[in-house]
Amino acid sequence: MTVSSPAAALASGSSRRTRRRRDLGKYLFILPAVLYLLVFTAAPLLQGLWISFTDAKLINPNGGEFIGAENYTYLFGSNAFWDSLTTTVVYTFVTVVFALVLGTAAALALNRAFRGRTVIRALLTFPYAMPTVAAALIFIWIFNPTSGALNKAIGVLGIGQIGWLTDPDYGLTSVLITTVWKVFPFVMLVVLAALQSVPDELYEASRIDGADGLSTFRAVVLPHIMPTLSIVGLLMTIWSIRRFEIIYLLTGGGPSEATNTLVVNVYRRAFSEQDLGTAAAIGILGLVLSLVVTVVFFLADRRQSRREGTA
Amino acid sequence: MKFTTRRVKHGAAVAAVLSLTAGMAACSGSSPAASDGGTLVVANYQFLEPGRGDQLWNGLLGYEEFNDKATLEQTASPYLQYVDKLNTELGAGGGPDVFVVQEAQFATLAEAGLLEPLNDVLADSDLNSLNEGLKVDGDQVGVIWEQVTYALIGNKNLMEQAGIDALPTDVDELIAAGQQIQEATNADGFAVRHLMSEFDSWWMDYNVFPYGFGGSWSDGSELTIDSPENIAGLEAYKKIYDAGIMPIGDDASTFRTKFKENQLAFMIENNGATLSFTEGGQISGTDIVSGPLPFTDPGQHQRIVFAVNKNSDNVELAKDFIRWFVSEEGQTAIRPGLGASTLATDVPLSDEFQSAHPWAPTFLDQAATSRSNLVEGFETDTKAIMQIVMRAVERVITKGDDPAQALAEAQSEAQTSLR
Repeated sequence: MTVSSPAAALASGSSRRTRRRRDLGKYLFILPAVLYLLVFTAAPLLQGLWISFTDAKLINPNGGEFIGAENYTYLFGSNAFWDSLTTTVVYTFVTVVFALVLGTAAALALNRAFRGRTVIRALLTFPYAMPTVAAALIFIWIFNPTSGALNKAIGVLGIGQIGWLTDPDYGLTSVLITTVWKVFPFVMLVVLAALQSVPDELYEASRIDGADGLSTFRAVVLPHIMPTLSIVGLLMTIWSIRRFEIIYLLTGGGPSEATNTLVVNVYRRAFSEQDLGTAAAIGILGLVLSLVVTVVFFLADRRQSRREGTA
Repeated sequence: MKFTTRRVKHGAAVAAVLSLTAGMAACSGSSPAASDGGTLVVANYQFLEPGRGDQLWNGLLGYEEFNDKATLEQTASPYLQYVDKLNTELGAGGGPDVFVVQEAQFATLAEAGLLEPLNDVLADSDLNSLNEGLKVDGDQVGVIWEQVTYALIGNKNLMEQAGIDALPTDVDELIAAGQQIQEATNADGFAVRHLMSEFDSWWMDYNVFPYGFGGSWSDGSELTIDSPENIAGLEAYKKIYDAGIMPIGDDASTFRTKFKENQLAFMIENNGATLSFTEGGQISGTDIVSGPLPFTDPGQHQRIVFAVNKNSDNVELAKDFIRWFVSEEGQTAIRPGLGASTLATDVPLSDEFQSAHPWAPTFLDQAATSRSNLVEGFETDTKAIMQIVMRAVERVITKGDDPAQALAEAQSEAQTSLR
């Protein structure tokens, strides 16, 4: 049995009080951030989760009655929901792949000095800087079947008029063109920054060894920028799952549901059909999709790190 | 100052007491009397319409002279956002003091108990019979802002260029006239809404077609989406869509501008929009001709309601404003901006207006037989039902689905979703 002296007990007590006082200060400093997250993220999320188990209507959002998993059962049995999930996956996949490829290619091209590089870099950044609503309006005009620039151009080549935003076979393609145009500059800028971290000596060594451009890219550049590409790919994936304004402004989810992604579906259910319960359920399922993607990414990243012995 | 546990707890307690006190102060007290005056926020998407919007607002400002302690403020957003914004605000307990709503939205708001009864301020008014439909359990919870009807309108300039001296009277004549216009003038022949991105307006305009063939979406108790008459209406709509006379892909804002700029010959339109074509374009009221819809049966009307927000901080002032609005003074003030619409009272069109707008009487004639856009027996589910119907219509015109099958699927889906 350990017997501590009164002096030691007194000293340890005041040390605990000092530690508690110091900890209280730290908690107070992070309190505003925690409150912000609780109020603007956690609370609405929990409320949305609750609403997804009710029959709440837009005009009386707090008046819904608990109906269990009925909304989820309805969605899982609805072809329209699975179609919107498929559209979301296709839209996300194509956007991410093309944005990564185009953005990386543009970054590689801008990574070497040439006359006019600054101007071209500014022009390539322009789509990302343009307000999304303005971009959507411009593309609506470009895609107009009768008076749009695109049909005028392909008309010169002898191709007939295409309903870019009115033909279900082309609706998603048109939305993807607009989206990739809008977002690839972000990838370009991030990858361009990552390329600055590739040591010049490696390029030199590669040149001495007689490697061509493609081999240099595969063996020297790509391993260096791969972590950046992974993070950018993850962000692009999450943003694409959540993207609403471009799709809704261009097509409203049409033609014939061709561009009806999960997020557009949420909006239509909530505001056109005023069915908040089902809309919230779709939103929760969309969140689950984002979380799955994020978890898969981090698991893959951890496995890769372990393999490289850097965990 | 050192943060100690005791000081933090004390501060939190003081903050809680202050918050509670402030909250109680905010909640206390009833709405001020109308004679006390105040500020009223009036919402209407029409305030944004070129020329007409200012005319409507200036008409309403007459209330400030009637009650010199009152101040009116307007709030407006484009129609496509107006409905969603208003529903969200009212559902959250906020929103403007007085607002216009379409009939479908009115039904939903009335059922939710968000509209203030107006019986006490309307006792001495001269409301017409159209207002009867705006009662809930005996309470008058709205008055007619305007009831607009639909007709076929033509651009006289283009018709003369193409040698067309009368408006078409059926679908085949419409298609032939549209083609004649295109060949003679290079302008588009005919336009009507056809895009899902304009759903909130598209479904109301589309009803011209099924109604024009004697169709309806219900018999009062059961949905009748796939009735033969509705199928005939959809087939007519598709026939016109495929005829090559429409500017496919143009939204209403674009093709209405084309009409004003002598680039489009025929439209099926409502009288409110038609009035707006006489401002800010190349045509005047005498350049527009109008006639009955090219179908066998009457079309629909849009009934736009003026209502008071039950959660307004100035309910009494808002009700007094409505009292003025339905008086002879208020109705006369608003008449020029509402053109050939039917109003809350039977104030007539002025001779001056009729001579400047010879197209107007046709729309007034349609009012006697026009039908509501609401699905009878399913009023509060109208928008949800029409979402399903319009998706079927979209599949027919864009993918070539069979109209009968598309509407049969819509019937089935609507019956399942109304759970």
